[in-house]
Amino acid sequence: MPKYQNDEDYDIHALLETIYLKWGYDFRGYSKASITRRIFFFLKEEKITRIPELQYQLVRDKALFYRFIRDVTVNVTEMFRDPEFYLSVKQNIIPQLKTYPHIKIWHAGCATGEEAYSLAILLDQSGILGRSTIYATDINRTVLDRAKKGIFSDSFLQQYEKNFNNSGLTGNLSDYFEKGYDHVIMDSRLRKNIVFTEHDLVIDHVFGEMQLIFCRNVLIYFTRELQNQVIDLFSESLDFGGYLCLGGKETLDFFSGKDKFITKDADNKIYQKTK
Amino acid sequence: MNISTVNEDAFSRLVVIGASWGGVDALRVLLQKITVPFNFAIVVVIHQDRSKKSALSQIFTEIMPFSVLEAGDKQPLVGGEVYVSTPNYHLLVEQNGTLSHTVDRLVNYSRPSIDVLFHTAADAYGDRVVAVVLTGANKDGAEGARCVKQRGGQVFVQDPKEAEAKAMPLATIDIVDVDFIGDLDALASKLNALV
Repeated sequence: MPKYQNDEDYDIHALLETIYLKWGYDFRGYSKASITRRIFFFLKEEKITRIPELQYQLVRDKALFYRFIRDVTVNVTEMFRDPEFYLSVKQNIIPQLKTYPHIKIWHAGCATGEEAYSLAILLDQSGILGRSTIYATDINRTVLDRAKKGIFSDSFLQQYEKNFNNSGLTGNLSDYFEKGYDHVIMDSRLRKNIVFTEHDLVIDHVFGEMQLIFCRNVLIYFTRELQNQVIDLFSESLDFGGYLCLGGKETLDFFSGKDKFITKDADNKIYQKTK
Repeated sequence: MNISTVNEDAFSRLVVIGASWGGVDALRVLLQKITVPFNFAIVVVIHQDRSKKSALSQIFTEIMPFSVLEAGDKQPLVGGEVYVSTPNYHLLVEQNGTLSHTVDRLVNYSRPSIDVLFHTAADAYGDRVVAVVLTGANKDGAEGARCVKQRGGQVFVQDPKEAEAKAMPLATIDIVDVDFIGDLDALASKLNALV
């Protein structure tokens, strides 16, 4: 049995090994189908014909490498994605958070920040935003810069407003932004308690004692081995009694340390660390 | 790093099905005509309301003599089973015989996109792939079907005359030298004849 399916598979593996050796970014545990698609989009964008050519240039061209990170690690998100999830957070997690004098939250893989602002709105309506800190992290510096600005295109506004209205919140989403010509600017009050910072889930370390960790639709991009490693990192970063929230297709079912958690809401993938 | 190898025995062929407008009814008819047991795996992408959870696998499982599962993350494909997409997630086939998901941007205004499924299936399984394009009112699946052909797989298309929405079958026939065009009865016979 050959180790690689075909030449293209070999090229991808060789590229990822090279990036790790040269730049320290480790994509070797990413799901292959998705990263392969992204690499081919990048080739097209850069008008490079073959992966070995990209590999050669990535070793030598720092600017190209930064564009590679920018394009290949970008994730798509939306405000109040899965409204019933936010409703569940409000009902199952917020009451406990209210009992803490200071609340530390890690939003891992925040991408352009839509969900970090969503969470800030929920905390605001619960009266605890002022004593909360949301550490919103991502591997991709470019998306973090956009997240910090809190400026979002208005093309999905209708969807976001619909999500907001189904999330068990009061008022309107428009209470939290100013409308520009083709964009919205989020209320700077929300931003004050969000710290946007670079963090790579694969190579960076534990992130303080958190009461809540959000990491939604990030683990799906990883193989099961890497998922286990990252969930272990979350487990280590959580206080006893703290909560871990995953995306709809993600679960602790295959995590070796799943005994440390109880399932608070199976449908919405909310877990509590109890050991 | 652990590189998983393909379990050649888990399924014979990989049948990937794309359905959109009118797709639930078409799938129900098609799947009910599949002879049990079968040793190919079936992966279905169907366009559904992105803001709703789908009860499709549950509904289908109740009426079919085989498992119709909502595709799980990194779920291994097994012959004789059917895996259905989840609204708002792209569904991809990995080279190690598992399924994966992404929330990447819409493709053909769709998530899940049929093209994404077909494309990744073709990349992973080449000539073992059979792509089936059913009813739909858009062009999703056509590019992916072309890719399946390029990699040596086969493409079957629902007869546009029978399809509730003919745009999707027509779009595929338009750009792909398809292997077979037929109604749901005939498509089921073709699938039952796969070895």
